[in-house]
Amino acid sequence: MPADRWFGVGSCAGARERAGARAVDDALVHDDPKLLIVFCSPAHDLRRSLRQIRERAGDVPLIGCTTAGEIATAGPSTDGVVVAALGGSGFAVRTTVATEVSGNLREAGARVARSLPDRADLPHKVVLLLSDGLAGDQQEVVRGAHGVLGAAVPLVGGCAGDDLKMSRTFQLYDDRILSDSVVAAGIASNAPLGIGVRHGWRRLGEPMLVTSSTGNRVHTLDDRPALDAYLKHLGASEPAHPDQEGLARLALTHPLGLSRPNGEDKVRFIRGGDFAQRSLSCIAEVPQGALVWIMEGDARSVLEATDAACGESLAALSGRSPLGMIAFDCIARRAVLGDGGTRSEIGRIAAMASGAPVAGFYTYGEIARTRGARGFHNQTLVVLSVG
Amino acid sequence: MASWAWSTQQLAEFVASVSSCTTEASAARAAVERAADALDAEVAAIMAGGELLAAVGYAEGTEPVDELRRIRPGVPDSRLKVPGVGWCAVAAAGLAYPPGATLMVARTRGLTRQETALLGGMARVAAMTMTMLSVLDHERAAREEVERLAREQAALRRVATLVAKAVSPEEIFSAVAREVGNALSAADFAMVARYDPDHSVEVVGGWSRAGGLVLVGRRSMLGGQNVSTLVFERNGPARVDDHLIDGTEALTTAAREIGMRSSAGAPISVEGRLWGVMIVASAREHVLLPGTEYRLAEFTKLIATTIANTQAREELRRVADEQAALRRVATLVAQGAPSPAVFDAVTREIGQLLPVDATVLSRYDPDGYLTRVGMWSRPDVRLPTGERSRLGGRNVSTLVFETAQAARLDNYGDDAGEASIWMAAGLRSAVGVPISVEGRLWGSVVVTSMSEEPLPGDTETRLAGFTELVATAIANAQAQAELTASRARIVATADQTRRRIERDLHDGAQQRLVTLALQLREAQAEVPPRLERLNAELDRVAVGLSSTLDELREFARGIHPVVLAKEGLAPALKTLARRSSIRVKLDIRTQERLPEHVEIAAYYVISEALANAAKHAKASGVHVQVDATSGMLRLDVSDDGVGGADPARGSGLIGLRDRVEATGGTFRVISRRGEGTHLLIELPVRPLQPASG
Repeated sequence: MPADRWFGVGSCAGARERAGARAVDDALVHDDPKLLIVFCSPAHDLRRSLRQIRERAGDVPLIGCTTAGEIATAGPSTDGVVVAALGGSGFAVRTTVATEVSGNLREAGARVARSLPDRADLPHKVVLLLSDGLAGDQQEVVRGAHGVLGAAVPLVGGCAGDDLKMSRTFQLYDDRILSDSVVAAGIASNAPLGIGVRHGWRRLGEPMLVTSSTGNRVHTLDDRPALDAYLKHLGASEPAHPDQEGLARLALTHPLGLSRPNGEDKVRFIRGGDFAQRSLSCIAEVPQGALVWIMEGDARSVLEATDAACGESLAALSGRSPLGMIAFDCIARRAVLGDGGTRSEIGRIAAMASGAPVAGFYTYGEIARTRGARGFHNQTLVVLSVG
Repeated sequence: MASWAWSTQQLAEFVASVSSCTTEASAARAAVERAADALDAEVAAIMAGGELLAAVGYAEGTEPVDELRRIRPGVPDSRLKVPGVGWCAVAAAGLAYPPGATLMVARTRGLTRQETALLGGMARVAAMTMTMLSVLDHERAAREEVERLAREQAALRRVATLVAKAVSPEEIFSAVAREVGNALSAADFAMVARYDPDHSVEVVGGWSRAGGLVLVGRRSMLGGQNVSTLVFERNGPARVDDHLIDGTEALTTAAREIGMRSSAGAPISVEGRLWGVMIVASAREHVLLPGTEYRLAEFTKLIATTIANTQAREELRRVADEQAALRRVATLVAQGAPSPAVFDAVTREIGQLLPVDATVLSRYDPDGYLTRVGMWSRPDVRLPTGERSRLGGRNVSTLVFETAQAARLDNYGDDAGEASIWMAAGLRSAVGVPISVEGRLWGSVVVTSMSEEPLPGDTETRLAGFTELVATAIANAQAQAELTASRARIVATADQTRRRIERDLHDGAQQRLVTLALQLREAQAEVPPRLERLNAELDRVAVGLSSTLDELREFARGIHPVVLAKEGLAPALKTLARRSSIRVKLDIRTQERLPEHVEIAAYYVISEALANAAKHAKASGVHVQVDATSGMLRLDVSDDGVGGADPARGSGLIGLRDRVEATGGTFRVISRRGEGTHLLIELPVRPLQPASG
């Protein structure tokens, strides 16, 4: 049945043989698909799933990535595949890819930003990016894209996950399975698209000064080794031996927060620590001289943030119901929510979407640039509403 | 948190970020990004001097530079329309550096006073950082410039040392090419090339960074858009930044084959004339820095000096060689060497001095022929034999004869004529100059060459010195010959006179005396015996007559002994010896008759020598040896007298010397006191030279 704009989501939990095929079948609710977005658990045979999707969908431009958990209307999963599709004459889409991006993140951002279709009749534009968060400071990707697009085009997206292993994530581009790359879809639409950003963390205790840092690595806080200062602040006992997992668990729900003049603090996810050097490693830049708070959150604050983010994204639609929503949700928030909490969260999103389909995944970092130059977030929920 | 603390923190972050930049451009970029971050601005930019240094928030390439230019600090209610956002309030802060620069941010809601202060703080930090970076930049540029100059000076010094050591020009050219190539980091090739008269250019010194490329010797015709041609046409520096643009000319094609993509060159002028060009080239386009062609100037001056030095040295050597050659010939002439020796020397010296294969000296004879009197050729050149040829035809000898001026032929044609049998010997071109003796054309000197190139233009001039010497030698020889001939003629005339006198005496006075003596004897026979006194008187008269007759005979013999004319030298000498008052030992080894003046000269020499030996030398004996071999009559007279004879002091020897030399002979006297006198005379046996007219 033709429709000039449509959005569909299909999902299949569990590493089933035909998971990919089933997901894409459910997503293709109408003809003339313009874009497929695939979120796939790394537990899957990516090649097989991708092949199945391509078989069913043909040559429709496809971008996607691996996750640390998937979000679909049907509910959250940790081993599933979710396919979101949009199509119809009301959309025009162009996809691009940049590979070997570590060390060239700004350039990669600039490259993929040049993917917008030049359609004056489809004035609402957004660039959706899926990136390899382990490749470096993703703010550089945002800067690169912003430098090309300027203030007029918002950016939205997230960093691929690998089930919390933090070793290797994958990005999907048509029939290619890549790593260390950025894939993007430039979407032009004749109806508004809205973006909402919230995290729900709050400050814990007194701030500390970043007395020494280089890029993503914090060496000292208040002139003390960063790792020690962090653990002390949280009252965690000094581990007898290097315990990355323990640190990761702690860090998941206690990111660093950098203050903003207004609005929420900028949150920085702690990816790990160097037990020899006693430094902390974040997934984005922590500038030297900055004042940081250790943040904490609970289910309530996280869910409140969910509502607020959805609300913000819907605001741009001027009251219209969305065709669908895509959520880029940080794994840290999931950690706070727990299994039950994630189900609630998705329920709330679906509710805010007025029953429209929802897709998304749990990310290692979120991209949302609507105002100003900053666009990379941690421990945050970014919601894209497709009008 | 108190907003002032937040501002401080933001400023601290700003400082940390911007001050760690290493270039002005990256500092400007970091400043606008951090400012936009800190203030949550949609747009941030830095404008300086009407130029946009950095901006964030506009799609690339769409920055509204004109609008941004109008934003100034302190202008209230500035606004910017930002695409995708709408109208934004603008805040701006001035930067101390770059001068007149402005840092501006645009945001939908205006800045608070606190934020404005923060903006000012950021502007100050940005300005300080950029000032510092600019200073560092300048310092670095200055240092690099100094280092570059030092390197170039060292290179120039190395080359100058070579020039001073008078190393061969080829080595200097290669050294310069190498130094220039090493001094310019963007250069992959360097060459010194010479312009030749046929509009070509040849590489005489070359260097390539990769090595192994032989550039020396490459020759191309000028033309087209390449540095060699442009420098030639302008007589000034030139550059071509991309050789791929013009692909037509041979030189450009050759350059591209080698791999040259861009090049720059400077002219090499030697003593005001364009001699060649110094070229540097790169294998990539547009990489040679502006001004490269001007930096070559110092190197080209060194090359020019080298060439001038070399040319001067060569010129000097040439002149020295010429002078030495002329001097050698002049010495021969001054020594009065015989003409053939002079001609020989001249043709040989000319042949070795000039780039010729053969030299010929000829005399023009009155019968329309020329006689070759001197010849020299390179060992592998076979010259035709034969002394004479007829003038005529198209050849240099004839041209010189006809015009009495220098002439040259750059190639012999078919009508070369007999005087030019050189063609058969492979000789192609010739230059001839006249030899004039005492204002009259005497002959010519002709030089020829086998090469196809015409002989150098200065050949005629260089031959002039030699022809003058030859003319002098000939004049000298002629004068000498004249002198000798006239002396001989004088002597011969004197001898003839003496003979006439003798004959007159004989036929005249002597004959009458003989007749008178006979008549007296006859008269005596008729005198009666009783007239004894009359008889005795007549006897006395007869004896007187007889002795007068004897005296007269003696006298006649003294002036010209008849036996010499009649029977020759040997019998005459025997008579002399018999009549001598001292013992004479004769050793005559020749019996043949010799030319008259030779016999006379020999006779008188020995006669005088014998008289001297008796009168002055108080000798008791004289040894006379006469020998005739190889065209010379040798007389050797030695006595055992007191010696000490000095021809200069009137001992009659002067007369002997005169007579001997008039005959063209040599006269030597060895007469040491107490050791006797020894005369050695040589007389050439040849007919008298007729008077030349």
